[in-house]
Amino acid sequence: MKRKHIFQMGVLSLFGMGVLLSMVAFDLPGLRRKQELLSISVIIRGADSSSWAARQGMEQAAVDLGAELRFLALDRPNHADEQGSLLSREVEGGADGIILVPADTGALADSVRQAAAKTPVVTIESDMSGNGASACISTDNAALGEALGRAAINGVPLGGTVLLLDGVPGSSGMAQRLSEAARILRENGRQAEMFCIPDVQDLSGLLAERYHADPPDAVIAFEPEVLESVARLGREFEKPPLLYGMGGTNVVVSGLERGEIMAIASQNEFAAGYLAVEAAAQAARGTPRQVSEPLPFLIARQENMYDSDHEKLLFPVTR
Amino acid sequence: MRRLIGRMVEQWRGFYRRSSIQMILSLSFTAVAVTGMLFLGLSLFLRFSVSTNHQLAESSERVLAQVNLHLDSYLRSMMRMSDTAYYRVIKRVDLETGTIDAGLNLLYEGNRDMLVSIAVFSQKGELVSVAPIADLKDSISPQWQGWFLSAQEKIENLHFSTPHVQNLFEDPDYRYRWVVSLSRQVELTRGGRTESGVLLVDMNFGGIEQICKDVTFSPSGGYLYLIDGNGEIIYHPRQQLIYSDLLEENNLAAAGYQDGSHEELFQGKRRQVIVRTVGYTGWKLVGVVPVGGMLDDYGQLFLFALFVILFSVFLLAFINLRLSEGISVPIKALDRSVKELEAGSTEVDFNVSGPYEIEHLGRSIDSLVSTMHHLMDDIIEQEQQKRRSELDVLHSQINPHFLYNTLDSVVWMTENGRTDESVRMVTSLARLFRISLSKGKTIIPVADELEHARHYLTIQQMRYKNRFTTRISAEDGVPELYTIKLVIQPILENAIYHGMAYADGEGEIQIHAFLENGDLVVEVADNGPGMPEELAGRLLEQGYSPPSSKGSGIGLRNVHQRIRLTFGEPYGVTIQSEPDNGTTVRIRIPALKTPDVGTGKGGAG
Repeated sequence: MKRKHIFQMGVLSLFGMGVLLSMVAFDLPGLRRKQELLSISVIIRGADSSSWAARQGMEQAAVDLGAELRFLALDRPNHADEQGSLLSREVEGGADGIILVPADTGALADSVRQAAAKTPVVTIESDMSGNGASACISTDNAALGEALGRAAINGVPLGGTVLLLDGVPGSSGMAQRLSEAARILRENGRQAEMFCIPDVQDLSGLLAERYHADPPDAVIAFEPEVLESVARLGREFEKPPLLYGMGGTNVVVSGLERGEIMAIASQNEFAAGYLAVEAAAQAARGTPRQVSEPLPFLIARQENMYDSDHEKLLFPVTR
Repeated sequence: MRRLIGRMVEQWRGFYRRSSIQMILSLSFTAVAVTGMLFLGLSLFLRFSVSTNHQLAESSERVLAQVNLHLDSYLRSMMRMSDTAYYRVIKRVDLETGTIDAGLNLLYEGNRDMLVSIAVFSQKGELVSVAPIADLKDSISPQWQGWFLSAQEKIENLHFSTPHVQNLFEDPDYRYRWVVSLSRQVELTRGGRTESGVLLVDMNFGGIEQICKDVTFSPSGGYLYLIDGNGEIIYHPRQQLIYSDLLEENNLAAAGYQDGSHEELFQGKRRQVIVRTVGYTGWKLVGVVPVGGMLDDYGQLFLFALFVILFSVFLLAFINLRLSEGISVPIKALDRSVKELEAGSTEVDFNVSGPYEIEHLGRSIDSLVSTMHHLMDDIIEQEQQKRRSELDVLHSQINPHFLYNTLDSVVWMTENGRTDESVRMVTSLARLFRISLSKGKTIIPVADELEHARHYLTIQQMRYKNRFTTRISAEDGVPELYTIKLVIQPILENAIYHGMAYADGEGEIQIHAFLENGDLVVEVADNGPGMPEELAGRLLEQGYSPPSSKGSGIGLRNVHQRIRLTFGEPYGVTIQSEPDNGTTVRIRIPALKTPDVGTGKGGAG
């Protein structure tokens, strides 16, 4: 056989192998390669994630984007050290991405920095991009604090006292909400008083004492769990202080409907969860991502809670 | 443009002329095959696409019709339930004396999977009865709600609401459930009098979801959603994403579609939309199937197609090369044979194996070449014959001329009693003729030619009474060489007639044969009156006749032509002469060692 013929046979064989390879490698029937499943860990700052509305959005995003979620709750709510340990453990465990709801941004700064060096970290509620976090999914905390402050102004007379409950003392997001609410109240002639609650389990006792000793005109809780507790406490008093707060749980909504809560600020938890997983997945896959806008929130009152927009926000249609 | 096309055509012609037949065949076959393949592939692809789209649309419509049937059945069962509640429970009870709680509860318990609640309200929105038993929320005013107003507005109809959160009754577990409300105006009997009321059946939204979810239309995707007449979404598999503004749906446009299949471009993606209206409610089921889902992975598909095309083209080119080689090899063999023939080879084989036409062509060329050789041989033979006949003519031009003169001399000498001289002359003449004949040979030894010249001179000396003397000499070895016969005698004749005729015993003719530059030269010199150089130069010209001369120079030209005919140029006769200085004629012929004469050099030594 001539050299030319051997060359031609060689090229022919190469092309043939190329066809076969492309048929095998590219999964011709669907021509779709299955996306590699990402392992994303979600570290919350509570003890139970089952009733967390954002979880449903996260699970939807996990299905859409090809991710496997591992929800990690704390033994003690808002315990920053435990969150730090979990962060390290998940990074060592080879998580492709971590979503964190930081209990204490200051205490977690180093842990987040170390973790972010190895795997993408996305935070919810408090921005830690200064510590290396890839993204933060949150409402505009300052605007939310201001809106709640303004809501309280209507029910509190001039010179009246508004108690601002800080259920997560170390959270920078919470701190922003509180400071803006305080600012707007003070600017409008009301007294804003910070009330720090290191452990939410102690809340009822501490607050009941305060109610008896020096009842405030209104209370603003910036965190759903705290708001639920305060609403429950209010039932024990004949004339409890006006209650405002942040949250969208069924208990909170029920409290709003029954008049136990005057107004609530509610963000789209479903969207927050979805966007957090999306941000983590994109960071893990190295996909360029647009800077996300702060999540919108609404101030709902008893009279408008069943309006279409509020209804969709307060009562997620999830399956 | 025309110039460009012209240039391209010219380039193509140039390429065509430069290319081998195998290349042209291969390229042509491949081009035709690839064109055909692409045309066929494209046709099949288009046909397949149209057929697939058609089948997909039909399949999607069937699926949608099935879902529609289920949904319609579900809604009708709700309506039947409403009818049952109204006609078999509410209408049969006077509320002043009886209660409808048990009836409604029974109905609810029988359908609790589908229902959230069945409730009856008075015209003022007061709760008359509800199943399961629950308290109306303090903050709620049913008479201002949409379902209540619709029922009051069109009393003869049943009204389906869009999905909403049921907010009427207290729930100890703080549950808020999404429902679709079916409301109608009813007549309540109280103390024998009828009054208006509203029957509300709250269907569990999950019932509709169960019917609509997990519906797929094709392997490449597709989903179904449900909208009301205004385009408001009732069910969507990703409803919460839409509510959260993380996803958009073309539901408002879909509300304007008629039942059937439509194609729309939404967010840059082309998709097929199948719409079917759900009876009575005016809701629309919308099936969405992405068009060209296979092309989503365009890069991989392109790579695969590229490999297949390259493989096919190269395979075709390879096969075509082999095929065209099979066809062109005999033609190439013929071409080589023709080139060999052109190079002068006489033994060329034109018998090639291959297709019938090529073999026939080979045989034809072979036959033509054979014929050509025969013809050439015939021409050569004819030429030689012609040459021989010319020589014969030339020979015949010599003989009579000389014979008459000699015989005249013999007669004269005999009459005068000069018998000895006469005998000598006749003897020389006889000898002369014997050499002239030479048994028919045209090539004779130089020695014979010189002998011939000597006898001739003897005869002429006797005729001219010894007016001149002669001297014949030859270099060693020269007499053994060969020459055309009778080349010296005509020159001697000229020398005698034009040089010695007027000599008075002092004339001299010298013949000297020698070799010069490998050629045989016979020099005939006389000391006659000579002639002008110009005349000497023209004597050999064909048809030239010298003025005021006895001879025409024809003998000299004959010798020159014979030598030229036999040996070609540069052989022949040259004349050197000057007035009063005699004439020297040089005969130049090849030095032949054998009597065989080819082209003039064949027997040369």
